[in-house]
Amino acid sequence: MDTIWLVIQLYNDYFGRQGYLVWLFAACLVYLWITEREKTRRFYLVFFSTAIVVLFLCPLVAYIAVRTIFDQETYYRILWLLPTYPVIAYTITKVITERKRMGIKVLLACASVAIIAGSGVYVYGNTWFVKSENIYHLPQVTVDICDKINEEGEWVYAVVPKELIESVRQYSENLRLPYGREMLIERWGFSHSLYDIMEADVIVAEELASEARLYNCHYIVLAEYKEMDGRLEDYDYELFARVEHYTIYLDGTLEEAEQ
Amino acid sequence: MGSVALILTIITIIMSMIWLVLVPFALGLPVAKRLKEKQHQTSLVLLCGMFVSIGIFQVCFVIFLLFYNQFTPFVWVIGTILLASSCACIFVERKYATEVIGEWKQISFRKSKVLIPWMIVFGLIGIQIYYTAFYQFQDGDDAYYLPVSLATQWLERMYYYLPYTGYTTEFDIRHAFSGAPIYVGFLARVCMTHSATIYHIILPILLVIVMYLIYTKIARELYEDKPENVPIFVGVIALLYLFGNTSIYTQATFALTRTAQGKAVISNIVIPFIAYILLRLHKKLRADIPYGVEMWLLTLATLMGGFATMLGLALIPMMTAIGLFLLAIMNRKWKLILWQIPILLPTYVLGVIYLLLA
Repeated sequence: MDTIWLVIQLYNDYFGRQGYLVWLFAACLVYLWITEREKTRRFYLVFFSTAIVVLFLCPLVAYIAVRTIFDQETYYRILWLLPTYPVIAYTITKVITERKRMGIKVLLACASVAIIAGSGVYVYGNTWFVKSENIYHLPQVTVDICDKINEEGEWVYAVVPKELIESVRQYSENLRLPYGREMLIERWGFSHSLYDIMEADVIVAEELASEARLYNCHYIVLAEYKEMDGRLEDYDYELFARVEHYTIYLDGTLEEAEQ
Repeated sequence: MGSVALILTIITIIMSMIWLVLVPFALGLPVAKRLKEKQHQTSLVLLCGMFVSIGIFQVCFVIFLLFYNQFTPFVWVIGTILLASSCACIFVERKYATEVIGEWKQISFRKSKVLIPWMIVFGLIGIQIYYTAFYQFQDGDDAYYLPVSLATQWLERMYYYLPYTGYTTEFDIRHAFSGAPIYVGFLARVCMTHSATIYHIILPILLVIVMYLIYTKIARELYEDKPENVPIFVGVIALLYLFGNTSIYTQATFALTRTAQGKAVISNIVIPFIAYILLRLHKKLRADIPYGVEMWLLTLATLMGGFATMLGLALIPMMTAIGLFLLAIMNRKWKLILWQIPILLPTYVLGVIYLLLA
């Protein structure tokens, strides 16, 4: 029973909460089952589509697949095999082009555009899309921070605020972090003492300095909007640079050690 | 932009054209010729060549991974193999290449019924290419792919690093057979640019174009009798993609937000390409024409499945099995089911190696 609910939930999640796509696809598939007679089109748009839907919804297949090849998070990917867009596109094209009067064709075309645009979700309306600032398509502040602390041919050890964790590793090959993206995904269940200190409401400078040193962090990058209890300068971290609203501190004991 | 940066940008663009357009075009010539298509051969040559070049890359990559895990020698070897085989293909198929290029001269939209629909299609695809080129979308999974590519170039060894932190680890067998991040590293090295530029701009633009080329090919198979419907079909597909962000799991979301990730390549390039080959296969079975080249292309597609993501090793065999089974029933040609064995041979080999190493 759990598997059946899982499959239904994944099916709905895949097509989205608006739900229009799943109904539009179902309506198109039924329409093609009834009206399409040409063999090649029936093979791909009707039989193949139906086989994938049946395979995906079959509880036995789901039960085995989720426990072997896939897992609960990835089982939905079987639906990528489903020619959702070709089935819808073919049906809409068929409905429009089979009409004889131009006026009706135009009307149907407009209605189709209205249904798709009105019920769908515009990809580029996603708030995560922003105008790119450089040829790397990475935040410029990331590039500037990495360029500041980069040492050609050497490993650079740094701890950065969580909003920079993912992007700094995409720019600098020689940057090592005490923790990475795994900290940002709660369900993975990772924890790290330094992350807890960095992301606390108030950062305690003494704790941060000692913990960062423990993890060999040459640099500490701090967001200026973060509240601090104490000064890192009092614990042998020097102000190294300021990049936008981030402050970079360098471990002063490193130079002493080198000397 | 300084003059040095400008020169480097021009070099990157030229090298990208060579490695991502010219090499696939050359490698696609002998395959596409044997498919005996009478029209629209340029796109067919490019698509076949893309799968051939990735197939060669994936085989060499696995060999190097297992026996000589060094990136720079690998770049030299694979670069030489791809360039030498491209030159050989152009030389051997020079007549056919001229024929394919000559096809462009015959294209005329004047007084054509399909001019306006095609202009709308180009407009819709143009919007997607514009956003791909000039807008950035930060996805967490990029923090896996790009660091793998960067670390490989910096430290020479493949799949020995924790991409999220940069520390070394034991051989990452779970992801190791996916050549895609290494391919990004290879392109970055030969195009003399940063992996992020390849991964976030150059490859996504190419992949969006290739995706619509494949859908156009599918449309031509579906509308063999009514070619004037092709732009309407592709236009609706482009519209569905543009408004396809109904969930984070849909093909459209992957295609336009996480374009160069292996998962997006599987769902929007490899799977539609296999659908296209299955459609061709159906046509040939009905006409009782030999279909050996299609089977080769299916084998290459399974290789590309493994190249893009390890999950492709499961997903693609599933698709070919269902497709061939349905074709066998519909055409009463039962030996078609047996073709699944040679088609999946590379997958079996990778599977056995994986089990042995894991």
